[in-house]
Amino acid sequence: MEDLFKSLPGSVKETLKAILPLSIVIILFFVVGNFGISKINDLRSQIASQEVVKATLTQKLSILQSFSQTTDTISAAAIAIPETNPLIIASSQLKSIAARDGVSLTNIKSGGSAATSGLSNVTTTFQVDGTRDSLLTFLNDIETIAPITQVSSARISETGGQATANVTTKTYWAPYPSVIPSVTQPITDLTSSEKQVLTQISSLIQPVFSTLTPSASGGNTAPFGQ
Amino acid sequence: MRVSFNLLPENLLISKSLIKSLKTIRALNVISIVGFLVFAVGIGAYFVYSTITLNGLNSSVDQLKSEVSAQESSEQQIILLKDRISDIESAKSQKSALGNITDVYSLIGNLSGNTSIGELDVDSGKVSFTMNIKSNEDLTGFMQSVESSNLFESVVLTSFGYNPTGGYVVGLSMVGK
Repeated sequence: MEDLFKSLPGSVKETLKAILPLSIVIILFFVVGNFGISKINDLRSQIASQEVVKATLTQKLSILQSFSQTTDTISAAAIAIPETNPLIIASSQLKSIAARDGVSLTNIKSGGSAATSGLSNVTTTFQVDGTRDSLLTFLNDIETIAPITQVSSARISETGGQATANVTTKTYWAPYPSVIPSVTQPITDLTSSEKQVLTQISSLIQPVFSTLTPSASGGNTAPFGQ
Repeated sequence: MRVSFNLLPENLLISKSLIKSLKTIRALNVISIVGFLVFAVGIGAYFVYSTITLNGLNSSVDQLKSEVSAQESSEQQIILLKDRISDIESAKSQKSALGNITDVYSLIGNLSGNTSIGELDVDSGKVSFTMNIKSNEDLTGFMQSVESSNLFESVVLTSFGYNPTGGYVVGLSMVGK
Protein backbone atom coordinates (compact mmCIF):
# COMPACT_ATOMS: atom_id res chain seq x y z
CA MET A 1 0.00 0.00 0.00
CA GLU A 2 2.85 2.29 1.02
CA ASP A 3 4.76 1.29 -2.15
CA LEU A 4 1.71 2.04 -4.20
CA PHE A 5 1.44 5.50 -2.62
CA LYS A 6 5.19 6.14 -3.20
CA SER A 7 4.91 5.13 -6.81
CA LEU A 8 2.22 7.70 -7.48
CA PRO A 9 3.24 10.92 -9.26
CA GLY A 10 3.98 13.92 -6.99
CA SER A 11 0.98 15.92 -8.14
CA VAL A 12 -1.41 13.07 -7.28
CA LYS A 13 0.23 12.53 -3.90
CA GLU A 14 -0.03 16.22 -3.00
CA THR A 15 -3.61 16.37 -4.19
CA LEU A 16 -4.52 13.32 -2.12
CA LYS A 17 -2.76 14.75 0.94
CA ALA A 18 -4.71 17.99 0.57
CA ILE A 19 -8.08 16.42 -0.11
CA LEU A 20 -7.94 13.74 2.58
CA PRO A 21 -8.53 16.03 5.63
CA LEU A 22 -11.33 17.81 3.78
CA SER A 23 -12.99 14.49 2.97
CA ILE A 24 -12.66 13.34 6.60
CA VAL A 25 -14.18 16.59 7.84
CA ILE A 26 -17.05 16.30 5.36
CA ILE A 27 -17.72 12.71 6.49
CA LEU A 28 -17.55 13.82 10.14
CA PHE A 29 -19.96 16.66 9.35
CA PHE A 30 -22.44 14.12 8.02
CA VAL A 31 -21.95 11.57 10.80
CA VAL A 32 -21.97 14.04 13.73
CA GLY A 33 -24.65 16.20 12.12
CA ASN A 34 -26.91 13.24 11.45
CA PHE A 35 -26.49 11.75 14.91
CA GLY A 36 -26.47 15.05 16.83
CA ILE A 37 -29.41 16.60 15.01
CA SER A 38 -31.52 13.44 15.37
CA LYS A 39 -30.76 13.39 19.11
CA ILE A 40 -31.59 17.07 19.43
CA ASN A 41 -34.80 16.64 17.43
CA ASP A 42 -35.76 13.80 19.74
CA LEU A 43 -35.09 15.99 22.79
CA ARG A 44 -36.99 18.95 21.31
CA SER A 45 -40.03 16.77 20.59
CA GLN A 46 -39.92 15.48 24.18
CA ILE A 47 -39.67 19.07 25.42
CA ALA A 48 -42.60 20.13 23.23
CA SER A 49 -44.79 17.28 24.50
CA GLN A 50 -43.80 17.93 28.11
CA GLU A 51 -44.61 21.63 27.66
CA VAL A 52 -48.09 20.66 26.47
CA VAL A 53 -48.48 18.34 29.48
CA LYS A 54 -47.24 21.11 31.79
CA ALA A 55 -49.71 23.62 30.32
CA THR A 56 -52.54 21.08 30.63
CA LEU A 57 -51.63 20.25 34.22
CA THR A 58 -51.28 23.93 35.17
CA GLN A 59 -54.71 24.70 33.73
CA LYS A 60 -56.21 21.59 35.36
CA LEU A 61 -54.72 22.46 38.74
CA SER A 62 -56.03 26.00 38.52
CA ILE A 63 -59.54 24.71 37.66
CA LEU A 64 -59.45 22.15 40.47
CA GLN A 65 -58.19 24.68 43.02
CA SER A 66 -60.85 27.22 42.07
CA PHE A 67 -63.66 24.63 41.93
CA SER A 68 -66.22 25.95 44.35
CA GLN A 69 -69.44 23.99 43.96
CA THR A 70 -70.92 23.07 47.31
CA THR A 71 -71.76 19.56 48.44
CA ASP A 72 -75.45 20.55 48.28
CA THR A 73 -75.20 21.32 44.56
CA ILE A 74 -73.39 18.06 43.89
CA SER A 75 -75.92 16.02 45.84
CA ALA A 76 -78.78 17.91 44.12
CA ALA A 77 -77.30 16.89 40.76
CA ALA A 78 -76.88 13.31 41.96
CA ILE A 79 -80.51 13.21 43.12
CA ALA A 80 -81.82 14.86 39.93
CA ILE A 81 -80.45 11.92 37.94
CA PRO A 82 -79.79 9.15 40.48
CA GLU A 83 -77.40 6.26 40.03
CA THR A 84 -80.02 3.53 40.43
CA ASN A 85 -83.66 3.04 39.51
CA PRO A 86 -85.47 5.84 41.37
CA LEU A 87 -88.96 4.31 41.31
CA ILE A 88 -89.46 4.41 45.08
CA ILE A 89 -88.18 7.98 45.45
CA ALA A 90 -90.29 9.13 42.50
CA SER A 91 -93.43 7.48 43.94
CA SER A 92 -92.76 9.10 47.28
CA GLN A 93 -92.24 12.49 45.63
CA LEU A 94 -95.46 12.14 43.59
CA LYS A 95 -97.42 11.30 46.74
CA SER A 96 -95.82 14.23 48.53
CA ILE A 97 -96.76 16.80 45.87
CA ALA A 98 -100.21 15.22 45.45
CA ALA A 99 -100.86 15.77 49.16
CA ARG A 100 -99.56 19.33 48.90
CA ASP A 101 -101.69 20.14 45.83
CA GLY A 102 -104.84 18.57 47.27
CA VAL A 103 -105.32 15.76 44.77
CA SER A 104 -105.83 12.08 45.42
CA LEU A 105 -103.18 9.77 44.01
CA THR A 106 -104.07 6.08 43.57
CA ASN A 107 -103.14 2.97 41.59
CA ILE A 108 -99.43 3.72 41.36
CA LYS A 109 -97.77 1.13 39.12
CA SER A 110 -94.37 0.78 37.57
CA GLY A 111 -94.37 0.15 33.86
CA GLY A 112 -90.79 -1.07 33.63
CA SER A 113 -87.68 0.69 32.55
CA ALA A 114 -85.91 1.46 29.29
CA ALA A 115 -82.46 2.73 28.44
CA THR A 116 -81.43 5.20 25.76
CA SER A 117 -77.70 5.87 25.31
CA GLY A 118 -76.70 5.55 28.95
CA LEU A 119 -79.76 7.39 30.24
CA SER A 120 -82.44 5.04 31.54
CA ASN A 121 -85.98 5.80 32.53
CA VAL A 122 -88.64 4.11 34.60
CA THR A 123 -92.29 4.52 33.73
CA THR A 124 -94.87 5.11 36.44
CA THR A 125 -98.62 5.14 35.91
CA PHE A 126 -101.19 6.39 38.39
CA GLN A 127 -104.63 7.88 38.74
CA VAL A 128 -105.20 11.38 40.07
CA ASP A 129 -108.51 12.84 41.20
CA GLY A 130 -109.20 16.44 42.08
CA THR A 131 -110.51 19.71 40.76
CA ARG A 132 -109.32 20.91 37.36
CA ASP A 133 -107.10 23.59 38.88
CA SER A 134 -105.54 21.33 41.48
CA LEU A 135 -104.98 18.65 38.83
CA LEU A 136 -103.24 21.14 36.56
CA THR A 137 -101.11 22.39 39.45
CA PHE A 138 -100.17 18.79 40.26
CA LEU A 139 -99.28 18.01 36.63
CA ASN A 140 -97.09 21.13 36.50
CA ASP A 141 -95.45 20.22 39.80
CA ILE A 142 -94.49 16.76 38.50
CA GLU A 143 -91.80 18.38 36.41
CA THR A 144 -90.40 20.27 39.39
CA ILE A 145 -89.46 17.24 41.47
CA ALA A 146 -86.16 15.49 41.83
CA PRO A 147 -85.43 12.91 40.38
CA ILE A 148 -86.26 14.51 37.04
CA THR A 149 -89.69 13.28 35.99
CA GLN A 150 -91.70 14.10 32.90
CA VAL A 151 -95.34 13.62 32.01
CA SER A 152 -95.35 11.20 29.06
CA SER A 153 -99.06 11.01 28.53
CA ALA A 154 -102.33 11.70 30.29
CA ARG A 155 -105.98 10.80 29.83
CA ILE A 156 -108.15 13.35 31.57
CA SER A 157 -111.91 13.33 32.00
CA GLU A 158 -114.11 15.77 33.86
CA THR A 159 -117.51 15.19 35.44
CA GLY A 160 -119.34 17.52 37.75
CA GLY A 161 -116.41 19.82 38.42
CA GLN A 162 -114.12 16.92 39.32
CA ALA A 163 -111.30 15.80 37.08
CA THR A 164 -109.78 12.36 36.89
CA ALA A 165 -106.51 11.74 35.11
CA ASN A 166 -104.64 8.57 34.29
CA VAL A 167 -101.10 9.79 34.02
CA THR A 168 -97.91 8.12 32.79
CA THR A 169 -94.62 9.63 33.83
CA LYS A 170 -91.02 8.90 33.07
CA THR A 171 -88.32 9.26 35.73
CA TYR A 172 -84.71 9.25 34.61
CA TRP A 173 -81.61 7.64 36.06
CA ALA A 174 -78.09 6.81 34.88
CA PRO A 175 -75.11 5.02 36.39
CA TYR A 176 -72.28 7.20 37.68
CA PRO A 177 -69.16 7.49 35.52
CA SER A 178 -66.89 4.59 36.40
CA VAL A 179 -63.61 5.86 34.96
CA ILE A 180 -61.62 8.87 36.03
CA PRO A 181 -59.44 10.22 33.22
CA SER A 182 -55.67 10.03 33.59
CA VAL A 183 -53.83 12.82 35.45
CA THR A 184 -52.59 14.39 32.23
CA GLN A 185 -56.04 14.40 30.61
CA PRO A 186 -57.31 17.99 30.30
CA ILE A 187 -60.39 19.08 32.18
CA THR A 188 -62.72 21.99 31.50
CA ASP A 189 -64.41 24.15 34.07
CA LEU A 190 -68.19 24.32 34.24
CA THR A 191 -69.55 26.54 31.47
CA SER A 192 -72.14 29.22 32.14
CA SER A 193 -74.89 27.05 30.63
CA GLU A 194 -73.84 24.15 32.88
CA LYS A 195 -73.93 26.47 35.90
CA GLN A 196 -77.39 27.56 34.80
CA VAL A 197 -78.51 23.89 34.75
CA LEU A 198 -77.12 23.51 38.28
CA THR A 199 -79.11 26.54 39.41
CA GLN A 200 -82.24 25.05 37.86
CA ILE A 201 -81.82 21.66 39.52
CA SER A 202 -81.10 23.30 42.86
CA SER A 203 -84.66 24.63 42.75
CA LEU A 204 -86.20 21.16 42.21
CA ILE A 205 -88.26 19.75 45.07
CA GLN A 206 -85.84 17.46 46.87
CA PRO A 207 -86.94 14.17 48.41
CA VAL A 208 -86.87 13.97 52.19
CA PHE A 209 -84.85 11.08 53.51
CA SER A 210 -85.38 10.11 57.12
CA THR A 211 -82.79 8.22 59.09
CA LEU A 212 -83.97 5.48 61.39
CA THR A 213 -82.20 5.40 64.73
CA PRO A 214 -81.48 2.00 66.26
CA SER A 215 -83.71 1.06 69.18
CA ALA A 216 -82.31 1.62 72.65
CA SER A 217 -82.94 -1.90 73.90
CA GLY A 218 -80.04 -4.30 73.80
CA GLY A 219 -82.06 -7.13 72.25
CA ASN A 220 -82.22 -10.71 73.46
CA THR A 221 -79.09 -11.36 75.46
CA ALA A 222 -79.68 -15.14 75.60
CA PRO A 223 -81.17 -16.16 72.26
CA PHE A 224 -80.63 -19.88 72.98
CA GLY A 225 -81.63 -19.65 76.63
CA GLN A 226 -84.98 -20.49 78.15
CA MET B 1 17.37 37.01 -18.12
CA ARG B 2 15.67 34.76 -15.57
CA VAL B 3 16.37 31.08 -15.98
CA SER B 4 14.45 28.34 -14.18
CA PHE B 5 16.14 25.15 -13.24
CA ASN B 6 14.29 22.03 -12.25
CA LEU B 7 16.41 19.97 -9.90
CA LEU B 8 13.58 17.70 -8.81
CA PRO B 9 12.89 14.39 -10.53
CA GLU B 10 10.23 14.55 -13.24
CA ASN B 11 7.69 12.52 -11.27
CA LEU B 12 7.78 14.99 -8.36
CA LEU B 13 7.05 17.98 -10.55
CA ILE B 14 3.83 19.84 -9.69
CA SER B 15 2.31 22.36 -12.00
CA LYS B 16 1.75 25.94 -10.81
CA SER B 17 -1.97 25.77 -11.32
CA LEU B 18 -2.13 22.64 -9.14
CA ILE B 19 -0.09 24.39 -6.44
CA LYS B 20 -2.61 27.21 -6.48
CA SER B 21 -5.50 24.77 -6.22
CA LEU B 22 -3.79 22.85 -3.42
CA LYS B 23 -3.34 26.10 -1.49
CA THR B 24 -7.01 26.78 -1.83
CA ILE B 25 -7.86 23.23 -0.70
CA ARG B 26 -5.57 23.54 2.33
CA ALA B 27 -7.21 26.82 3.27
CA LEU B 28 -10.57 25.09 2.88
CA ASN B 29 -9.29 22.27 5.12
CA VAL B 30 -8.54 24.73 7.91
CA ILE B 31 -11.85 26.49 7.48
CA SER B 32 -13.79 23.23 7.40
CA ILE B 33 -12.02 21.86 10.49
CA VAL B 34 -12.75 25.07 12.39
CA GLY B 35 -16.30 25.01 11.07
CA PHE B 36 -16.71 21.40 12.11
CA LEU B 37 -15.39 22.11 15.60
CA VAL B 38 -17.76 25.04 15.98
CA PHE B 39 -20.61 22.89 14.66
CA ALA B 40 -19.79 19.99 17.00
CA VAL B 41 -19.42 22.28 20.02
CA GLY B 42 -22.68 24.05 19.08
CA ILE B 43 -24.56 20.80 18.76
CA GLY B 44 -23.10 19.58 22.05
CA ALA B 45 -23.99 22.80 23.83
CA TYR B 46 -27.50 22.77 22.44
CA PHE B 47 -27.87 19.11 23.43
CA VAL B 48 -26.78 19.90 26.99
CA TYR B 49 -29.12 22.92 27.10
CA SER B 50 -32.05 20.83 25.79
CA THR B 51 -31.33 18.05 28.28
CA ILE B 52 -31.29 20.54 31.16
CA THR B 53 -34.55 22.09 29.88
CA LEU B 54 -36.18 18.65 29.58
CA ASN B 55 -35.06 17.65 33.08
CA GLY B 56 -36.46 20.89 34.47
CA LEU B 57 -39.74 20.31 32.64
CA ASN B 58 -39.91 16.70 33.83
CA SER B 59 -39.47 17.69 37.45
CA SER B 60 -42.08 20.47 37.22
CA VAL B 61 -44.51 18.08 35.46
CA ASP B 62 -43.96 15.51 38.21
CA GLN B 63 -44.67 18.14 40.85
CA LEU B 64 -47.81 19.29 39.02
CA LYS B 65 -48.97 15.68 38.72
CA SER B 66 -48.66 15.18 42.46
CA GLU B 67 -50.52 18.48 43.09
CA VAL B 68 -53.31 17.44 40.68
CA SER B 69 -53.51 14.01 42.32
CA ALA B 70 -53.94 15.74 45.68
CA GLN B 71 -57.09 17.43 44.23
CA GLU B 72 -58.63 14.09 43.25
CA SER B 73 -61.87 14.68 45.15
CA SER B 74 -62.48 17.98 43.31
CA GLU B 75 -61.79 16.22 40.01
CA GLN B 76 -64.27 13.47 40.86
CA GLN B 77 -66.87 16.09 41.75
CA ILE B 78 -66.37 17.98 38.46
CA ILE B 79 -66.57 14.76 36.45
CA LEU B 80 -69.70 13.66 38.31
CA LEU B 81 -71.30 17.11 37.88
CA LYS B 82 -70.51 17.25 34.16
CA ASP B 83 -71.85 13.73 33.68
CA ARG B 84 -75.07 14.53 35.60
CA ILE B 85 -75.51 17.86 33.76
CA SER B 86 -75.17 16.12 30.41
CA ASP B 87 -77.77 13.51 31.52
CA ILE B 88 -80.07 16.25 32.84
CA GLU B 89 -79.86 18.12 29.52
CA SER B 90 -80.53 14.88 27.68
CA ALA B 91 -83.56 14.14 29.89
CA LYS B 92 -84.86 17.70 29.55
CA SER B 93 -84.58 17.47 25.76
CA GLN B 94 -87.12 14.61 25.73
CA LYS B 95 -90.55 15.85 24.71
CA SER B 96 -93.07 16.04 27.50
CA ALA B 97 -96.85 16.00 27.31
CA LEU B 98 -97.11 18.80 29.87
CA GLY B 99 -96.74 21.53 27.23
CA ASN B 100 -99.69 20.17 25.28
CA ILE B 101 -101.81 19.85 28.45
CA THR B 102 -101.05 23.44 29.42
CA ASP B 103 -101.79 24.65 25.87
CA VAL B 104 -105.16 22.88 25.75
CA TYR B 105 -106.19 24.26 29.13
CA SER B 106 -105.07 27.73 28.09
CA LEU B 107 -107.59 27.47 25.22
CA ILE B 108 -110.48 26.41 27.42
CA GLY B 109 -109.47 28.38 30.49
CA ASN B 110 -111.45 31.47 29.49
CA LEU B 111 -114.71 29.60 29.00
CA SER B 112 -117.47 29.68 31.58
CA GLY B 113 -117.80 26.99 34.24
CA ASN B 114 -120.48 25.22 32.22
CA THR B 115 -117.87 23.86 29.83
CA SER B 116 -116.28 20.53 30.68
CA ILE B 117 -113.86 18.16 29.04
CA GLY B 118 -115.36 14.82 28.14
CA GLU B 119 -112.13 12.97 27.54
CA LEU B 120 -108.68 14.42 26.88
CA ASP B 121 -105.93 12.17 25.53
CA VAL B 122 -102.59 13.87 25.42
CA ASP B 123 -99.02 12.82 24.83
CA SER B 124 -95.91 14.66 23.71
CA GLY B 125 -96.99 14.73 20.05
CA LYS B 126 -100.73 15.10 19.81
CA VAL B 127 -103.87 15.94 21.72
CA SER B 128 -107.36 14.64 21.13
CA PHE B 129 -110.34 15.54 23.23
CA THR B 130 -114.09 16.03 23.37
CA MET B 131 -115.76 18.96 25.08
CA ASN B 132 -119.24 19.66 26.29
CA ILE B 133 -120.04 23.31 25.62
CA LYS B 134 -123.39 24.59 26.83
CA SER B 135 -123.71 27.99 25.20
CA ASN B 136 -123.22 29.54 21.78
CA GLU B 137 -121.00 32.23 23.30
CA ASP B 138 -118.63 29.65 24.79
CA LEU B 139 -118.52 27.71 21.51
CA THR B 140 -117.77 30.87 19.53
CA GLY B 141 -115.20 32.02 22.09
CA PHE B 142 -113.48 28.62 22.07
CA MET B 143 -113.36 28.39 18.28
CA GLN B 144 -112.00 31.94 18.07
CA SER B 145 -109.29 31.19 20.61
CA VAL B 146 -108.35 28.00 18.71
CA GLU B 147 -108.17 29.97 15.47
CA SER B 148 -106.20 32.88 16.87
CA SER B 149 -103.80 30.81 18.95
CA ASN B 150 -100.57 29.64 17.43
CA LEU B 151 -100.09 26.76 19.84
CA PHE B 152 -100.70 23.79 17.58
CA GLU B 153 -99.40 22.83 14.18
CA SER B 154 -102.74 21.46 13.01
CA VAL B 155 -106.22 21.31 14.44
CA VAL B 156 -108.81 18.85 13.09
CA LEU B 157 -112.46 18.96 14.08
CA THR B 158 -113.15 15.23 14.44
CA SER B 159 -116.78 15.44 15.59
CA PHE B 160 -119.45 17.99 16.22
CA GLY B 161 -122.86 17.32 17.77
CA TYR B 162 -125.67 19.18 19.42
CA ASN B 163 -128.57 18.30 21.62
CA PRO B 164 -130.89 20.77 23.32
CA THR B 165 -130.24 19.55 26.87
CA GLY B 166 -126.47 18.87 26.81
CA GLY B 167 -125.44 21.59 24.34
CA TYR B 168 -122.60 21.12 21.90
CA VAL B 169 -120.22 18.15 21.88
CA VAL B 170 -117.03 19.09 20.06
CA GLY B 171 -114.29 16.60 19.22
CA LEU B 172 -110.86 17.95 18.25
CA SER B 173 -107.53 16.42 17.36
CA MET B 174 -104.47 18.63 17.48
CA VAL B 175 -100.82 18.10 16.64
CA GLY B 176 -98.40 19.92 18.90
CA LYS B 177 -95.58 22.10 17.59
